[in-house]
Amino acid sequence: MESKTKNWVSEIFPEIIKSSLLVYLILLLLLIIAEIVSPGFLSFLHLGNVLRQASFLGIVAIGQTFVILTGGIDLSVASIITLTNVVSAQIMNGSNENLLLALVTVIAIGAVVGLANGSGVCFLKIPPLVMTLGVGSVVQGIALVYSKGAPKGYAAPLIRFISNEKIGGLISGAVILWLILGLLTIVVLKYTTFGRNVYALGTNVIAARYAGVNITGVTLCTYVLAGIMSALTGTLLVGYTGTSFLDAGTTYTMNSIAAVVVGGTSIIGGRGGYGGTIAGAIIMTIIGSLLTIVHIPEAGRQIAQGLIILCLVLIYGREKTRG
Amino acid sequence: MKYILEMKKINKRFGGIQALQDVDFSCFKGEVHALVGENGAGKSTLLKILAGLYQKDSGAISFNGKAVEFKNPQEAQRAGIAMVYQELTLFPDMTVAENIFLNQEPCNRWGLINQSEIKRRVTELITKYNIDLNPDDLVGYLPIAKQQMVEILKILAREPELIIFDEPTSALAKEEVHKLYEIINALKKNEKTIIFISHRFEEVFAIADRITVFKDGKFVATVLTRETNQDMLIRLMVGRPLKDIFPKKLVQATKKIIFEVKNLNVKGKLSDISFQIREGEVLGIAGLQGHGQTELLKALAGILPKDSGDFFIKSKPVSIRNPIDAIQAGIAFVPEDRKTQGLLLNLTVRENIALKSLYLRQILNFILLDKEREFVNRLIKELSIKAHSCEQQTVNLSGGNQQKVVLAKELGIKPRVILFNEPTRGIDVETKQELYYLMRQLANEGSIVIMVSSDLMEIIGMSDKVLVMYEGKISAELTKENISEENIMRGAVGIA
Repeated sequence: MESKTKNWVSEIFPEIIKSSLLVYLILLLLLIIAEIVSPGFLSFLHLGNVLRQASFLGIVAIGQTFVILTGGIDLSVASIITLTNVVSAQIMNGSNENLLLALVTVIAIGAVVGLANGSGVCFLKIPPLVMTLGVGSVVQGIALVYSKGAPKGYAAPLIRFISNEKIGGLISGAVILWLILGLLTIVVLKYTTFGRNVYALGTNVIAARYAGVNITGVTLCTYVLAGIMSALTGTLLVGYTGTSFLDAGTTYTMNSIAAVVVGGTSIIGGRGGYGGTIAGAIIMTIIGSLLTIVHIPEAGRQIAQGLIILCLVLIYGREKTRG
Repeated sequence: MKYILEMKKINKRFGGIQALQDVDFSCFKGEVHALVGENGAGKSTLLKILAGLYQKDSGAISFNGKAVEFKNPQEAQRAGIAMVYQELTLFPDMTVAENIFLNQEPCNRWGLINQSEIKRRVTELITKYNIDLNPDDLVGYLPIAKQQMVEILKILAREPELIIFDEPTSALAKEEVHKLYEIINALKKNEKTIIFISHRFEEVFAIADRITVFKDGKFVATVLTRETNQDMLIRLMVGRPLKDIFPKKLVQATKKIIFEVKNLNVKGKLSDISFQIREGEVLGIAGLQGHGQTELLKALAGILPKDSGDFFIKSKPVSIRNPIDAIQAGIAFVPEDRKTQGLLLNLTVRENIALKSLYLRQILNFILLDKEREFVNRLIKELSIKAHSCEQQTVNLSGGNQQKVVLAKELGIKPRVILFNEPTRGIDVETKQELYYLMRQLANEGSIVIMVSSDLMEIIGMSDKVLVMYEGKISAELTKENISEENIMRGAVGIA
C-alpha cells in the first residue's frame, strides 16, 4: 500500500501538467500580460485574491467537469448557488452554532436538485441542456419565493473566516478546500472504477452499456455531485460577501462551462480531466479581474470575455486535432 | 428486343476489397430483372453505381444507346434512372404530397409552391397505381409499409424509364407485397424497365422475367425465369472451394449439453427459438441479413429484453434481463460493429481491455493499476495484439487488432459463453485465421462459442452445428455433413 501511495503522488502532478500543458502555458502567458497591463498584478496579495475568487468557480467546475465528461451539461448550477446562498445565510444567521445545520441543509438541497436533473436525463430522456435549463429556472423561482425577494441573514464568523481570511497572506480556507476537493476529483477520475466509467460513458454510450457500465447510476452520480459542489460554493459565497444575494450565482453557469472547456475537456464528453479545469478556472478569474482593473465597462467586459474564451478554445481545438 | 442498359467490365474497389470485378450486366427495355446472390456478392454496389451513388473505378455504361457517366444521383435521375432505397428517405413531419414533390414542387407565377397542383398530381398518381394513401396524411404517422409506398411514388412522380428497387419487400407485409407486384406489373405495361435486388425466391419467381446471379463480386449467369428453378439458382449462388484457413472441427461431440435456450420470444423479432449446444461445439448462426440473427445474440447478451424464454448453462437456469446480468452469468458479447459498439476509440488499449472487468481488480472502487497493467499486458501477449504499448489509442490500431482488443475486453470477465457477431468483418485474412483458431481453442477449453456470420464460408468452416434463421425463426438446424451452402441457402430463403 505504501508503494501505491508513492505511485499516485508521483503520477498525479506530472499528469496534471502533461495532459494540459497548453492550458498552463496560456495561464502563464496571461499572468505575464496581466503584470504588463497592470503592474503589481503578480504581487502575493493580489494573487491571493485571484486564487480566492478562483476557488469558488473551481469548486463549481468540479461538478461541471464530471457532467461534461459523461457527455452532459449542467445549466442549473447558477440557480443552485443562488438558492443555497440564500438558504444558508438565513439558517446561519451570523452564528457558528447554526453552521452545521446550514451545511447539511444546502448539501441536501444540492443533492436533490442534482437528482432531479439526473432523473430527467436518465428516465424521462430529456436532453441535459433542456432538463437542467428547466430545473435551473424552477430552482431560481424557489429562491425568490423562499427569500420573498429580500434575502435575510448573514454569514457565520467561521465561514467568513474560511472564505475570506488568507492564511500566510496567500491562501484562504476556501482555496485549501478547493485544493483538497480538486485532488480528490483527479484521483477519482483517474483511479476509480467510477471515474473510468465516466469516461466510457462520454466516449461511447453503446459500448459502455454493452460492457456492463451502469449508465443510469453513473449519470445520476455526476449530476448529484454537480448539485453538491454548487451548494458548497453557494455557502462559501455567503462567507465571502458576508450576506446573500438573489443573483449570487448568476455568472457561474457560463463561467464553469468555460473553465471546463478552456481547460481542455471536450464539450461532447469523454476527453479531458480536472487538471485542466483548475487552470481554466484561474484563467476565467484572471480575465474577469484584469478587465475590471483596466476599467473596461461591463458591456465591453462581457464582449471581451466571450471573444477571449472563443480564441482559447480555438487554439486548443487546433492543437488537439494536430496531436 | 434491344438492350436499354448495358454495363461492361465494371470494376469497383473499397479499400482492400474488390467489390466488383469485370462485371457485365444488361437489361432489355420493359423487362423485370432480378439480381440475386449472397450478402456481399456485389449486387447493391453495382446498382448504386448505376444510380450515381457510387463511382466505378473502370468500365463502361450505356443507357438508351448512349454512353453515360453519372457523378451523382441527380444526374442519373435526369437521364431517367431512379432508385428506391432500402432505407426510407422521407420527412416524417411533411405530408404524403409534400414528400412526393419535395424539391420539384410545381410553382405558380409568383414563384410560390402551387399546393393544389401538387395535390392534384399526387391524387392522379395514387389513382393510377391504385394505392391506398391520403395525400394530406403526415408521413410520420403512417405504418412503415405505407411509407415504403410513398417512397416508391416519390420515384414514380419523376417518370423514370428505369427503376431500381433494393430489397423492396423487406419492410412489407404479404398484402402490400402483392400491391407492389401490381405496381410493378403496371410499370411494365407502361414500358418501364425494372431491376430489383431480392433475397426472397418467392418474389423473384413471381415477378422477374430474367434473373442474374452474382457471387463474390463477379457475374455468374443470367437466366430466364421460366427456364430455371430454385435448386438451379441456389447452385449458381454457391459452390466455391473452402480454403484451409479453418482449424480442425470437433471429431465427435459428447453427449453433455452445456448450453440450452428454450422458447425464446421477442415480439416482432424472434419467435420460439430453442436450441442446445454440446460440450466443445461451435455453433454457427446463418441467414440473410435482417432475419433475427443479431437480435438473437442481443437477447442472449441481455441487451434486447425478451418477452419469454429460458436460458440454461450446464443445466442451471440463468436469468438475464440486462447486460450486467449477462456479465455476472459469464456471457460475453463481441458486437458486429467494433467502432460504434465495441470500442472507446479515443481511449487507450489498456482502458478498453480493462473496461468490462474493472470489478475484478478494485478495492473500494479504487482501480489496482499494477494489476490492471499486468492483466492487460497478458491479454495483449496471449492474443498477440500489435500495439506500441498498452497506452496506445485504439483508434490508431488496424481493424484486426481493434477486433482483438474487443475480444480481449470480453475475455476479461472469464466468460463461460462467448457470442460473436460478424467476428471477422473488415479484417485481413491472417487475423481472421488467428481469430478462428482462438475461437476453436475457447470451445476446446470448455467455453460455449456462438457465432453469427453472413459469411457462408466462415459458417461452414467453423461450425459443428448451424442454425439458419428466416423471419425471426430457426428454419433449419444442420450438423456435420448436412452443413453445406445449398442447405444453408435453402433455410435462408425459407424453403427448407
